[in-house]
Amino acid sequence: MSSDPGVRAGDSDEALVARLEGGDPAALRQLMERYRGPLHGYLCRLLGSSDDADDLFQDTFVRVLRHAARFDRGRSFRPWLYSIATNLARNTFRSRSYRDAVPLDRPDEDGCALVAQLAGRGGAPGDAAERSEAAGVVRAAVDELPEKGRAAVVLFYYQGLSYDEIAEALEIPVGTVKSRMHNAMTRLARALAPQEELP
Amino acid sequence: MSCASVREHLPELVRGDAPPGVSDHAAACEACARVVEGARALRGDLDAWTVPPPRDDLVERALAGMAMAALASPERGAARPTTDLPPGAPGPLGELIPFPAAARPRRRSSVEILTSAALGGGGPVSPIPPTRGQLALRLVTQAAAALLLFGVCTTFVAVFYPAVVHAVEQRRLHDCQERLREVARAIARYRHERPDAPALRGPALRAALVEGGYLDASRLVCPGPRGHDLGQNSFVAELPAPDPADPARLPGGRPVCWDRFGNHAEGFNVVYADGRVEVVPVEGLARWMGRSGE
Repeated sequence: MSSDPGVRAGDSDEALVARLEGGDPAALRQLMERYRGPLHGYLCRLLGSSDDADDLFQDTFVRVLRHAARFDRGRSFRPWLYSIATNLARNTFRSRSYRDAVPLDRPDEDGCALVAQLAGRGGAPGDAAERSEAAGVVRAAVDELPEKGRAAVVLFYYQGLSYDEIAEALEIPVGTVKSRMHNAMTRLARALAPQEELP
Repeated sequence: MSCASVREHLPELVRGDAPPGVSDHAAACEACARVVEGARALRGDLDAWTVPPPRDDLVERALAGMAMAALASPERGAARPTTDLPPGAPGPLGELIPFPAAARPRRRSSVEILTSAALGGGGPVSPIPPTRGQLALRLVTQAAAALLLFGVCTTFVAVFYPAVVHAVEQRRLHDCQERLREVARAIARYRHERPDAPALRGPALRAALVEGGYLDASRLVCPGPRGHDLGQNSFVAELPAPDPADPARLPGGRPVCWDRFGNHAEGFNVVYADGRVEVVPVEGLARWMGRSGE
């Protein structure tokens, strides 16, 4: 909690992990608050379900807690965290038939995503339907990417990670990340604008 | 900047942080201008994919879930049964509440009373000025009495004050456990009477219990220090999905309601469907999780 006197707002992620290793639960809470939005958004995009993202958010921090002692202080915490989350998401994705599930943000039979209906943001109903339809199209296009390409795109575009960080998170060489990103972006561009081809 | 490097930086172009020089080159090269335009269009498409924001209580829920996992695991060194509440030392609450200041205005008057009584000076003021010996004796006596009083007060505070704080917190923990048992009974009754009801949690479950007359709304508030601020959000309650084998009953080992993380300084109450209550020490959670292996 931000009001916890034991945790300073300016503590780096790595400093918080060090404190966590020392058995300070306040550091855990601070890390979880810090990554509440970004990590949940990442998992939500990978899994297509907010509830499953909730579960994996918790599981990710259970791993962080268990393996805090193994964390290499010379490295950055963020890719390590995403690495854990990606592996958990991959396991979950493989163990369940996610392809058959209907995620909240995928268009239903009427073309309207449940999320857009629930969120009830401003604008005309037609706008919401168009937005959710567009979101569903993007999601479908991203889903068509190979598994690691999908994670790389989400990490790169939505989470703002650098190539080096993605390489660390996905445990692949930087060159592979670059080629996968390039291929993924090209495929996405074609999938989302089939009438126009990139030169 | 060459055409090849523009294409190489396609992902950055999409994200909008391509290296400088790309737009200059695109202005002079028609093919690259189309790449830049395509990247911009793709950015617009990708931005359309929004996800719902996380719940406000995501962290609280996750922390609670981690505590529950600690309870459910065979390595339950940190969990304590209700009947084995920690004796002795005050928790963080006791350490946070400062002791009263040692110097109190009343003490001086008490010392004066004591010393004046000891020196026989309780009556009217003597017209004869005291001798040096009398003054020295008075000073020594006053100092001794002050020390004695200070020691008595300090001992009293040190011995009893933390105990009082501890007792108050224990009382709150106990009251909280009673409320959790009531919630568990209400949830069990609800499931018994509505075996086909779906899984419920949070506000939906609270509304079902209160509006259905299963529970008084006041029992959904933790009596701990945070209960006043959190109100009915101070507990996390869940009605599990019906068990196909016996839809009218809840699985006894299933947790159905528990404290928000931090409701109590000393621990974390959780009640199971069978009414059993346990408390997990907050400070033990991280250490417990840290030492348990995969």
